[in-house]
Amino acid sequence: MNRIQKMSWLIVITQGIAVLSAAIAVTVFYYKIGFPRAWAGSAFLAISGFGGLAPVLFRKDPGPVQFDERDVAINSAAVKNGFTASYLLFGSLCMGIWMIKGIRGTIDVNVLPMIWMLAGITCIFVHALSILILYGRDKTSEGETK
Amino acid sequence: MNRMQKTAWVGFFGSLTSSVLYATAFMLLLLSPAYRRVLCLILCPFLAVLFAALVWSCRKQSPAEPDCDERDSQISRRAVIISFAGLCFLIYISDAIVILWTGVGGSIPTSVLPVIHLGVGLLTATLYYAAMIVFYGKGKKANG
Repeated sequence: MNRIQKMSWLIVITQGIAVLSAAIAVTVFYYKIGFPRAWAGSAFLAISGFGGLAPVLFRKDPGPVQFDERDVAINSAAVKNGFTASYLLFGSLCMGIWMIKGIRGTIDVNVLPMIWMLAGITCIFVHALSILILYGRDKTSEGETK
Repeated sequence: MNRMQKTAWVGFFGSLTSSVLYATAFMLLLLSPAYRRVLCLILCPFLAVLFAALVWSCRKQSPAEPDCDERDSQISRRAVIISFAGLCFLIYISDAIVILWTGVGGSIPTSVLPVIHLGVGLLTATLYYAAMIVFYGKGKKANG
């Protein structure tokens, strides 16, 4: 595995744990104390911050070439996937809230930064996941491990 | 100009004009719903012009022209990444404007959300086509 794959694994694992923990916590708190206090469970999303340590934990690969054309192509495709997923989520949340609440409904303005944060987390997660899948596909088609 | 360049120009002016019309429509409708007829009068000729421009952009320079060569693909890829990066910035700016307008503890009508969504989408499309035009222009200068 090269450095970018190791970083992607760390991001996928930390964000996956963060989202699952937050979802479980919010559900448990909802049944115990109800909304809006149950939203305190979303504090578990902070676990995804550990993914930011990836560049520090994983040092540069040995050898003269750190990032070749294949890596650039894979990263470019992963970036597009990440941004596409985040925009789809952003659009779904905007239109979904509008449809559920109705034309004459109102929402708390603090929902907007939450939507932006969710779109950002989705972008990073899908980017990392795409890198892992694309490197995996490349390995399968070549028939050997890099 | 090849087909992609023509599409980029049509797309740029189309999305830019759509953004301006969209913002104008939003402000006029806030003032009074009676402006709906005025907006329909503006929208119909705009759509007709846009349709004609799209038909023009689909025509090839010659039958031998490929649909999309490697340079077109590379330019398109770079333009997509730039437009998506701009999208993040636009969403952040639009959220900040709304929060500054209403205050941190305020509330907003839900109809603001589709307005933000569509507005940001139109501006992102404008950015995409503008990036393509700039990259094609840079390539032309480099070739002499």
